[in-house]
Amino acid sequence: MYKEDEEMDVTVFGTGTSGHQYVSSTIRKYVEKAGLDIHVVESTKVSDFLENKISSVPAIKYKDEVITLKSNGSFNKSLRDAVKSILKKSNYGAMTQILIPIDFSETSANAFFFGHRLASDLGLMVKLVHVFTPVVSDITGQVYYDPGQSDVAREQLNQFIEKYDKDWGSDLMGGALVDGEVLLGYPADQITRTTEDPHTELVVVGTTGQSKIKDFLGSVSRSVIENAKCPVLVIPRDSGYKQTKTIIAAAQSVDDIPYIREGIQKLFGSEGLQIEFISVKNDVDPGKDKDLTILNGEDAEHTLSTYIDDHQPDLVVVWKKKHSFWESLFHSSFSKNLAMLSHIPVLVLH
Amino acid sequence: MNLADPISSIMSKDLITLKPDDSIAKADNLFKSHRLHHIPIVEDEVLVGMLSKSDLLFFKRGFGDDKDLDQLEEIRLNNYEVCQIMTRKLAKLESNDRINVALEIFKENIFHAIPIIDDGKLVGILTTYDILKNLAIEGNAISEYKY
Repeated sequence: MYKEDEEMDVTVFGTGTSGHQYVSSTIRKYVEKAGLDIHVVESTKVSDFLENKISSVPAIKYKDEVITLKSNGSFNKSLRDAVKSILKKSNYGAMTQILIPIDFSETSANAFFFGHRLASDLGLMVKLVHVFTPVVSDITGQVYYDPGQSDVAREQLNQFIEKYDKDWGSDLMGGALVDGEVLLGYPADQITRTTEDPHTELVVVGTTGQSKIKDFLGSVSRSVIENAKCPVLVIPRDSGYKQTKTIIAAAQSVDDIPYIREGIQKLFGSEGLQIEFISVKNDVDPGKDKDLTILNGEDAEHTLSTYIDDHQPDLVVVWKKKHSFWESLFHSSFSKNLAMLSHIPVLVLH
Repeated sequence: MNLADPISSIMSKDLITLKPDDSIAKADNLFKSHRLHHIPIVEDEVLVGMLSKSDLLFFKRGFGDDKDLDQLEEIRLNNYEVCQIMTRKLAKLESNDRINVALEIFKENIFHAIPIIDDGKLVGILTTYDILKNLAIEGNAISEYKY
């Protein structure tokens, strides 16, 4: 006889078929990944189905909510939604995430698609954040907030997730889970605050990728790069996802290399990565200092840009180390420096 | 068309190919601009897969059904590579194989295009369209047809 399980149990109702077991094992996999203390139990007794008012199987019960999985072409989508529903009740536990701010522009959409592929490859989930800013009157300074407007923003975000959080490729459950949140306030502040979440491994922001236009890097992206508490990956508008294999990392000295390497490997692992560390110095002979390739050039930006253009890496990495040469470059003309890499993703380590 | 003739006599030799890490957006544009149905995927002159229009449409299903979202769909396609949706297990023939061997493969109704490989290199593809085209251009095939 089925007894009401502990509140933290997920019951998967079914007939013991491979489909039933697939549902259980999929939920188990994600629950483990999130580090949640939730037991997944199977029930094959018809009396249990009746007692729990299960109309068709496979079905899932968790915290008094019953989710019936669809048996037609939407099976994987409904299983994916069920997994999300279970995890969301525990705020996704310890699952680590890639944070992607979205304003529904093409630039931010590209950051999302790129970030989603990366999250799928790295086994992370995606958290989309849309920041809604209430209108402030210029004259009176009063803040006008219409809850209806933020509801519209929330609906827009939900529709976006509903459309794109499904099985995209051949690996039906392999894609990263996507969750979203609408925050109220100023985008730069709110996004930066969200990067303080210890579960956030990386922020992915988009750029127009057009170096000649003034807003190559929007003020929000710029502020996030400056203030984020985690690495920021900057994706040009036309840069499509490719698995990262070749990296050029800018370093100031040989001493920087272990830190930069650690930052890269924390995200991408170490297998199959080809990392070249480079530094630009004036009045020195170009050559190697251990793992550091030293380039000679008066204009560091130009020298770096030319080198990257010649070598076409999959990713450029810059460490925003305090008081470093690279930081001074960034402070002097941040957007200009990123603009020179307008077609290649740039990872900014902090 | 003599079924005992070699495939080289009717296969398409002027091929448009892609690399495995080319974006699906690039493939989509090729399908749109060249009235193609199959694109061989080649790496270092070696055939590694075939991308059919069906593969692409399966990937696009349910997406981009709203005209306003076309641009987003293109961006999505730009973030996937053809190697993720191409068919890897292929029937292959050599250019001196006879046409009737290809017909036997087409009769199975699994493949509609067969890559032709000589000495490990892709030299052409033979599609059901090539067969139809060669039947149609033969005077007999048309003149003997009675309404």
